[in-house]
Amino acid sequence: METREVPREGQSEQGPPGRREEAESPNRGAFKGSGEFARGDPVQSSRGSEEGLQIRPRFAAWLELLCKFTESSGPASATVVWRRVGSPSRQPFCRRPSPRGSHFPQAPVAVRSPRGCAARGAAAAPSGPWPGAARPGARSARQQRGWRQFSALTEVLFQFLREPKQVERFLAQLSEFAAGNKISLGPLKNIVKSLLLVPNGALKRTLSAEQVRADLITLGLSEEKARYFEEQWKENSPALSQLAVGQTLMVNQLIDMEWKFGVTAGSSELEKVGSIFLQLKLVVKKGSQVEPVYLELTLPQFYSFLHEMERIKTILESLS
Amino acid sequence: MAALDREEFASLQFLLKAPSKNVVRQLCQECFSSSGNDPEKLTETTCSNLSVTPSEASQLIHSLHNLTRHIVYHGLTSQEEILSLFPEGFHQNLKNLVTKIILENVSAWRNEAQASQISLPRLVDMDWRVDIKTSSDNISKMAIPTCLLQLKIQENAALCGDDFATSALTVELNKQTLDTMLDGLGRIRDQLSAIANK
Repeated sequence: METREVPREGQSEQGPPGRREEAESPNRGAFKGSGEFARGDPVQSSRGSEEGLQIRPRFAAWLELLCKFTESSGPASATVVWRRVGSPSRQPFCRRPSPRGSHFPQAPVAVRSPRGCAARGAAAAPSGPWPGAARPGARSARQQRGWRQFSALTEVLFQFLREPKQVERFLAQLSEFAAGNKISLGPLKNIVKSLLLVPNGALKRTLSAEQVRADLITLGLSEEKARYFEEQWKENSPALSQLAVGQTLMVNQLIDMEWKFGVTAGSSELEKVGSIFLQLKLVVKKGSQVEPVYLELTLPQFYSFLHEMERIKTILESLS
Repeated sequence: MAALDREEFASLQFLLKAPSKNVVRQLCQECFSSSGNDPEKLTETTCSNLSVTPSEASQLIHSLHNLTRHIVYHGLTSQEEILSLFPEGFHQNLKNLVTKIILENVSAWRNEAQASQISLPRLVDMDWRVDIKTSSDNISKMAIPTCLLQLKIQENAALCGDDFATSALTVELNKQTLDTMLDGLGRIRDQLSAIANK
């Protein structure tokens, strides 16, 4: 499995962060083959951008599908989705606002304070007044339902991102969503797989929330949906970054420490001893195995050990 | 229980043949430390120093070893206690000399015994370094400090004879682990000081 990176160069080239081809769980570790070493190679950055251009239309097509079917009204459009999945668009990428997007001038149901809107030069932006100035009663039932679907799907997505081990639960929720909205599970899975690329790539590159939103808009998602996504991203990003940090490589990580200390009463050489001993069991993770290491320290050794540990702690605290 | 039986004390008489007190002193020390691993060398030197036959030398070494070990085991520290070990009619001067030598060495021998007693692998040395992780394949930019700790661990010396197998274990800790570890160590220290204050 190969991974090709699209470099992020300022605001001029905004593409999907990268592409991973994985079977079931796009959120798992990527490295499955030797293609890893080609990643991040500066020589390849120019080639990467060309591939990025090719990736983008496909991604944009997925997103547009997502927008379309969350606004869809029933089984008829489900068949449309099914047919379109087989032939993603091959047109060169251009900013392609969803045609229905421009009919979304109103505020989403979950009210948020609007951020600076007009400054963001959005050719794709809805032409109507901003959410803050919305006319609440003007949304059609269909749009509301579409919005609910979108937010439900985003919620499921983020839940999975927060707990990447809960694959079954994620799949179960996706099937529920598909059944509840009368869409087929297969294409939904594909779309969600592509959709997961956005947060994963954003995490990898530590993008800020605004950058995530700008990316999504460039890819063709409507303003408000991008905004909603940004909100969710903001809420979740500390937890998600912690998760990503936790996955960073650690060599021989210390997992656990157990200790006991006592007094040596006697030995075969000395009838009465009375010295204090300290025994430590350190549990070290070597690769995928867990190995216990047993140590014994005398009392002066323990005190110097403690002293060194405290020094390390001061240094770590001053660094973080 | 008597330290040695009659025959063994009898073989101590060979010490009378020693040319000087220092020889006796040295012999005592070596006999204590010998664990039967290399008796030949000691036997040879004893033979040459005391001009006795090898069998007599090995008997002497054996007796001295047992005597000194017995004294260290029971923690006998006074002259009377040691003198009372010798049988009636033992050569007076030799008795006094041997007692004096043993008394000189008993605390050093006690420490030696304690140091060589069996234990779990011992910590011999500890080194550390603090790194800052700036980037990884999961995240392109971060600044996370982490600590690498190298522990030199020596296997049980008594089991391996004189061959000390020292292994080095390098362990990585993040801040959280270090804090938890320090918690545990702090508790140990508190309990130790509670015991010490009693």
